[in-house]
Amino acid sequence: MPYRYALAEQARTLATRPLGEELRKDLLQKAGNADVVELDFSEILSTSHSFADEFVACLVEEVKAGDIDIEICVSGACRDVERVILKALERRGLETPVLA
Amino acid sequence: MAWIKELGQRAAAEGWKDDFPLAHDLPDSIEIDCSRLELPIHPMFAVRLRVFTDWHREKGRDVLVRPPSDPSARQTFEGMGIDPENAMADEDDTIMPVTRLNEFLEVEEVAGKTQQILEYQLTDVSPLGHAAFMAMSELCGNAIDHGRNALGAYAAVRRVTEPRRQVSIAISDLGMGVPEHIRQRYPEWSEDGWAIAHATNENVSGTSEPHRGIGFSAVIEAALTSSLHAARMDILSASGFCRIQTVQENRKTEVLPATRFRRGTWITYDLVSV
Repeated sequence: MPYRYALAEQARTLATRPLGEELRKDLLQKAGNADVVELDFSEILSTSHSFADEFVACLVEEVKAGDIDIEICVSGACRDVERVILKALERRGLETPVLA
Repeated sequence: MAWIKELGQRAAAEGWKDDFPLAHDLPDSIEIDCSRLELPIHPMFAVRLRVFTDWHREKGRDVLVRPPSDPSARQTFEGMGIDPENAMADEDDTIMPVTRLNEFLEVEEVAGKTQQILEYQLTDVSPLGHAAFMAMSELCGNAIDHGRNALGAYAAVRRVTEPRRQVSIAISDLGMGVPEHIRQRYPEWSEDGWAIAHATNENVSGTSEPHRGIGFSAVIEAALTSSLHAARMDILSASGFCRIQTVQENRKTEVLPATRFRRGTWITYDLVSV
C-alpha cells in the first residue's frame, strides 16, 4: 500500500540537516507497512543540500542497504529543489528514485 | 574609568572596519558612540557590534551604545537590532535584523525569512533568493553545528536594489573556528588561511563522518548555478582570511593574511543579481 509524505505540511523551506533527520524518522514511523513511499515536495520553495542529503539520500541509502523494505519516489519538486535532490543522491553514488 | 570608542561617519559602510575587542581586560563600563554614524550599515558591522555588546554584558559589564544622530541612520540602526536594549520592530522589509541562533529550528526560520525578504515585492529574483537561502541554511547550520559556544550564532541580512539587486549576509559564531575544526582531521594544514580555503572544497570536513563537508561548496555552487552577476564570500577565522569570488561562472579563491586574530568564524557573503 502506498504512503504519501507531504513535506509542505512541515514547512515551505527546508534548511537544516537536523530537520532532515527528524523528518526522516517521522516519515518511517508514519509510513508503517507501506511498500511504496512518495516524498511529495509540492509547494516547497527551497531545500538545502544538507537537508536533501539527510532526508532523501540517507533514506535511499537505507533502502539500498536493505535496512528498509520500501520503494521511494519523489514527486512535485520544482526545478531548483529537484536539482538539489539529484545532487545529494549523486554525492552518495545512489540511483535516482522515481521522479513522479 | 570607562572604555570609550567613537565611531566615524563611514564606520558601518563595510563590515570589517574598527575593532570591537572581546577582551577580558576591559573596564566594567564600556561606551560605543555611534552618534556620528551615517548610512549605509553593513550587516557584518551590525553583527560585530551586537556580539561585542552581548559578550561584554554577559560578563557583567555596563555597555552603553549611543545610537546615530542622523534620523535615517538611527531608524536603520534600531531596526537592525544592534543594541537589543534599544531595538525597535521596523517595518523595513529590506533587512533581517541581527538574530541570535541557538538551535536548528531558528536556522530554519531565518533561512526562510531571507528568501522571503528577497522575493517579496521584487520580481525575477528567484535565483538570488535561492542562492541566499542556500547560504543561510548551510552557513548558519555550520555555525550551530560546529561553532558551539555559550552565545550561539548570529546572522543578519540586508537587501539593496540600487544600483543593482544585491543581498549582503553576515554570519558569526564564537566557536572553535574553521582552522581548528578542520585540523581535527587534517593536522598538516597548519596555516589558518589555507585551512579555511581547503574547508570550502567538497567533502572536506573536520568530522570523521563520510558525506559531510558539503556546506561551503553547496553555497558556492548555488551562486554558480544561479547565474548571478557576482558573489563574494569573505571568511575570517583565527588568523586566516579567505576570499572566494564567483564572477560569471568562474570561481577564484584568495588567501590573505588576517590583520588580527579573531575568535570563532565571521563570514560575509555579498550576492549581486544580473
